[in-house]
Amino acid sequence: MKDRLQDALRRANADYVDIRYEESDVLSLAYRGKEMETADTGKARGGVVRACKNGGWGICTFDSLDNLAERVADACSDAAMVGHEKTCLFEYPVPSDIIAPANMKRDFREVDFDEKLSLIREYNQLILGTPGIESSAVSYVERFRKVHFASSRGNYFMEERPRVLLALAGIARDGSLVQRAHEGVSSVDDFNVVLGKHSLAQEVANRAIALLKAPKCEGGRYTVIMDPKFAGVFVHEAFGHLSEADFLFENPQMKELMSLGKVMGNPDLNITDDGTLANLAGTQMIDDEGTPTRRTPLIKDGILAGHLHSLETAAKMGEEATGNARTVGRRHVPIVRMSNTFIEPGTMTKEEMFAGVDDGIYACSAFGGQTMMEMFTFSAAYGYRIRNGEIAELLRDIVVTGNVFQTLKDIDGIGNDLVLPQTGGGCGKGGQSPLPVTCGAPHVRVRNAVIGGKA
Amino acid sequence: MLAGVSLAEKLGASAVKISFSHDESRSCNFEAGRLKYSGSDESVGYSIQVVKDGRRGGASGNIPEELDGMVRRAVELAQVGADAYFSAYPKPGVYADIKGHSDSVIKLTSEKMIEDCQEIVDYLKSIDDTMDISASASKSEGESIVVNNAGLCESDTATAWSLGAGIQKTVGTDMLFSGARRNWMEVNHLYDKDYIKQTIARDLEWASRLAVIPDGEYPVILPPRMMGLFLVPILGGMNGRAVYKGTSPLKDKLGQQIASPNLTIEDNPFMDFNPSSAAFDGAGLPTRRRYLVKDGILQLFLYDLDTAGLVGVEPTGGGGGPVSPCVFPGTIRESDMIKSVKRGLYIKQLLGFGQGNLANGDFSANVALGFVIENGEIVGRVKNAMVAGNILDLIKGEILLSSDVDEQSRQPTMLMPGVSVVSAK
Repeated sequence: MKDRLQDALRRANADYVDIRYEESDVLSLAYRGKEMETADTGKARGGVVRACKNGGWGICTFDSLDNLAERVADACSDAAMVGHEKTCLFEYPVPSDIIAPANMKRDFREVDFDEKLSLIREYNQLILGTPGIESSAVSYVERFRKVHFASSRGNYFMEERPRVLLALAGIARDGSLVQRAHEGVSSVDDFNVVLGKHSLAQEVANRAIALLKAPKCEGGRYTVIMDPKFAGVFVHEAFGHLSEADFLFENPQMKELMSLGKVMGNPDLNITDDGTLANLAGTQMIDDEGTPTRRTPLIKDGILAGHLHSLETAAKMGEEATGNARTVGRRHVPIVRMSNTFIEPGTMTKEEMFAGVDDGIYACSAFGGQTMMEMFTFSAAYGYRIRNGEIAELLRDIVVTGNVFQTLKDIDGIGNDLVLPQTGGGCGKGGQSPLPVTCGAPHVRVRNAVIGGKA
Repeated sequence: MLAGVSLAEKLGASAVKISFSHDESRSCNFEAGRLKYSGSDESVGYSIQVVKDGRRGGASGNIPEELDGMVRRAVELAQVGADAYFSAYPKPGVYADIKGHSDSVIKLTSEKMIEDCQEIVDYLKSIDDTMDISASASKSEGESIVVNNAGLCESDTATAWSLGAGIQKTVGTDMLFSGARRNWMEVNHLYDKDYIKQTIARDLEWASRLAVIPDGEYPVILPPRMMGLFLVPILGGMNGRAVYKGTSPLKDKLGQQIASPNLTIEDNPFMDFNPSSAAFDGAGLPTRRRYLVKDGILQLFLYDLDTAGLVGVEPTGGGGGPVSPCVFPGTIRESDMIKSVKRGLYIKQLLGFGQGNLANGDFSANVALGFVIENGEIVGRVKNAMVAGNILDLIKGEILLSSDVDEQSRQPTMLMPGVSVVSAK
């Protein structure tokens, strides 16, 4: 494969060319309610040629390696047509070939199909069998992605990226009111994480039912304590995307807004992105432009300390490439993405954090979120009122929104209990979704958070 | 492909369907106000669906020499797959002849697409050259073939183009995003640079001042694209499977008033060159043109072949959801609608709209781009406001539809009273 790719590159006429070729295999099984809803499998191959000449890019996708030379030529002539500047891509000593086969504790490809099926059937029956539950959704997905890459700089890598995901959801209904609870687990190296999740399935069922009776959270301003999962989604949506340098590098105002050295929060606030952490969802040895991944401090002691880069954004901003150029599949080009992003632990205990709140909201887990740069919004999966430092009644429909810059400064408590959840969530950006990432944090307390809902 | 169908039958499948597609496209992308990317895509793919012994299985791929292997996988999965409530596909029907391939797209050159994007970018720069401006255009041609073991064998070629632009204007920590896009299957009047320029220019003008609105319940004006999002609980609630399972909020409402008498929604799947048109559904049943909601009354539930078998009704043709739904226009021009509002919001973009229990109609979202109306005039952009409510309740109120419609989607603007607005102070 290396020879085949490098041979095609030899004839390329551009300042920089790379080829990424992938093979992927997917199995997806899902129950919805009493019945199996999905039993699907897919196997595909293909990739992308990128050429850069005089700063302009030619991008050509292909399905088969048979016409690779032609596609390389097409990409080069497109780049030549577009480019009228100077090619500006970060340069560093080319690492020697990286061959990274998957190293799995228990390889899902060797697990009997029937074992996978009876597992999700059991979990589904547990959820559905709980009185008060109207419906369920339990799914198992396994994906094996094999990525080959070569560039005109002489890079070559092959990385295998396996992933297994289990998602559990329960839906409870009371008249027209519907409430949902969900949990998920995922692993990059061990099928066994999906075993023994019966109590998690029960928790999901119990929570959906409990939420039916829970009052809605009223809209307004509150002190909010975020649990690690919710705080993780917060840091990803509210801050993480602003660190992605492709939003900054050709936008003078954004670059200024996110300039290194800027005060972003209190001195105990530290936020990091690390693509090297063993066996986490967002981890890769090498990014999809051939740059080794690394640990990148984004906020250190409350000050903006770094950005996430591709080769181009790094060169154009005079910073180092960080190994954050990632893709979600064979037909996509690398764009700047997070990997494993988290708020570093502080020193406050959970008890201390709650003791400081007379009246507030404890927001737990997240259904997901969206950001439009300065503005973020997302829903807690569930939450509780805090009264006089104690966790009080369960609440539903908690939607938190705010302005990033303000909210980061309003963090006045960072817990000592960092969690890096492997729940199977994925990030969406530029039509590339879901990209495996980790969103982590300890418990975090925010003053003056805005919660939506009727006034 | 026909060999694949026979193989599946040999392996015991009672129903088999194989779809194949091959697409080629060219595109150009402008970023930061200049041409940055040009490229081409080529892709092939196939998808296999089988029913065996009353269960369904599926497989997909793009490796031609592995088609047989994928057929085997689909049949294997069918052993454990979803219950199928049909055992055979119906005989092919008589299908509408819908135009979807146009030489005008083939003739569209990369040079022209680049030139047109450049013109839009230059115009936007003339309004404000500090903005971050992007633009893109693409054209594609594809062929698709669908065969099943009931004799369906339909092949089709199609063309498509898209043209659009967007801006991001950043002043301090204040960010404004606006954009406009058009896409169709024939190069006609919809390929309209002026529409794109003027849509963004109007947003910029309206957003040039900021305005506030006190907390309360207000009428909101939803232009066509935003209005389409608000119809999701209604259109989704018509799905026959959701009705059968009891999860549809419309399940007991057939033939009843579910919305204002001003609301009529028609499904017209036959429009030439409309990307959402289709002559037949996944089971090979002919699609139909019909009312979904008429004068606010729910007309029918939608049953695909499988759900129809489950419930014991006739399939409605077109699948479990509408194919190309369109709201009928009303009698008041959008500009007069705005003039009629004493205090309210004109909403162009929401953030987090789908995060509530939207299937049930609940929404709670941040107004990403919206404008305050006071005494019949747009007075400025609102920041940090959230809107909330239940669509299925609100749509029963005194909603109005505009007489003027979006040229591409044919959808009108909607005025919806009684939406809760809360501002972060």
